[in-house]
Amino acid sequence: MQPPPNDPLDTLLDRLGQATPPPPERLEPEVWRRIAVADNLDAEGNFFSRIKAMFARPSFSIAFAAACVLLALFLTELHTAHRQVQHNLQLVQSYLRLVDPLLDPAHIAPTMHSGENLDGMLAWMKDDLQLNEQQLSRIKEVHEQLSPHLLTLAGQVAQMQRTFSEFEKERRADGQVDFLQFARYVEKRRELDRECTESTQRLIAEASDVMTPQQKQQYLQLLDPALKASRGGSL
Amino acid sequence: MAARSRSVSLSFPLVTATPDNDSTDLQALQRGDDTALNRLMGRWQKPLFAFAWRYLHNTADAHDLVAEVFVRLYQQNHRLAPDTRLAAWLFTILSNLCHNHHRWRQRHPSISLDAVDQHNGGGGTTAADAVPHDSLAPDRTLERSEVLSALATAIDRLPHNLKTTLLLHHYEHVAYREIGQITNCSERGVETRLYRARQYLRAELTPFQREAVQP
Repeated sequence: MQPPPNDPLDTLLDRLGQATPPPPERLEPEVWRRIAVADNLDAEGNFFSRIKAMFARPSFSIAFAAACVLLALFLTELHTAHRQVQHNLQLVQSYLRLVDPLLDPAHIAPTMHSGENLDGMLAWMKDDLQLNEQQLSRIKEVHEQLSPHLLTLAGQVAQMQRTFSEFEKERRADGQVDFLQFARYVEKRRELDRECTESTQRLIAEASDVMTPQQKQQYLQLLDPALKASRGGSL
Repeated sequence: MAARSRSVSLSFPLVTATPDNDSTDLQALQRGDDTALNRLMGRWQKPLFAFAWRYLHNTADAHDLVAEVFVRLYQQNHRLAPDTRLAAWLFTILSNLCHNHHRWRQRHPSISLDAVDQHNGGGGTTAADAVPHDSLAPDRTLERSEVLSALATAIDRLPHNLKTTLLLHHYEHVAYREIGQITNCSERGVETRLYRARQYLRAELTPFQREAVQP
């Protein structure tokens, strides 16, 4: 495969090679300019390149994945805890509607008449306050003892609400109400409210007397925000 | 033809003439001495540009790619081993850049400024124009110009590996072993490629038989 001596092709290649122009000047400035531009681009992309370099290390990637898993577990736990708190709040509010005639008078009667419902309502107390069977039985007894009075109050509250509706209907129809009758209604309603509050407070106090100080404190802490949320007042 | 014999007998005038200087400058560059890059540019600009120009036949593109080679040398110098044959590395990068650029240009045809300059009768240097024809008659001059144009076209049509092998061997006088490093093949493979390239050029120049036979 050696080229023959005096190969005319070599002569032509040599002549063609003579056509090569000299290299342009100013190569060095051009090279340094490009290097400077590339450095600037590197500086701009420095943050992302650092991130990329960090993730290129297996130890960092594994640590990051582990951190993500832990964070996900933490958030799941937080979410579960939040749902539990919301669930407890609903249970407490249901309980309050049971013991406070002012909140939902129509709700008390069917609940009080159903021992199963009362057991269900009190079940959260057993779990959250860690009541023993004896405490639970005594608390149920307290509720059952006061239930007739609560039912009476609930009936009166319901009647008062109906009376108020009639006043309102009269005001809309005639544009006025009997002021004396309405004043007596307001006075009677205040008296009933006070009696309801005292009744609820007495029930809560008697129920809490069955509990240990820690259980009592937790019981009141649970009821107070729920009561505030329900009727804007405190115990 | 003496030059051909020297090349075949593994004499490497360009690549091996300054390996110590290259190694010294590369190590200086790796230590942060930026002036070493200037010295390397001064040493290698001309052969690199000549190779790129012969590959692309475009002054601006050749200049652009040679500049890119030195930019890459600066950016990647820390990855090079101290005993790297810098000449082989430079030509490897440049030949790859030329190959990529040539393929890109085939997909995106455009008119070279060099060609426009030639067409307008400007002073631009082209393959055929720059060859001295001082002792030839006008008809022979025209014929020779056509032969050289055909040769330039035939070289341009050579596959990348054959073209790189031919240009490095004939013009840069690079040894087979060095060409093998640059084109990633054995010395025997280089020899074969060189033979095939020359056969292809001869076939392309068959219509100009008289010119090719009578220099």
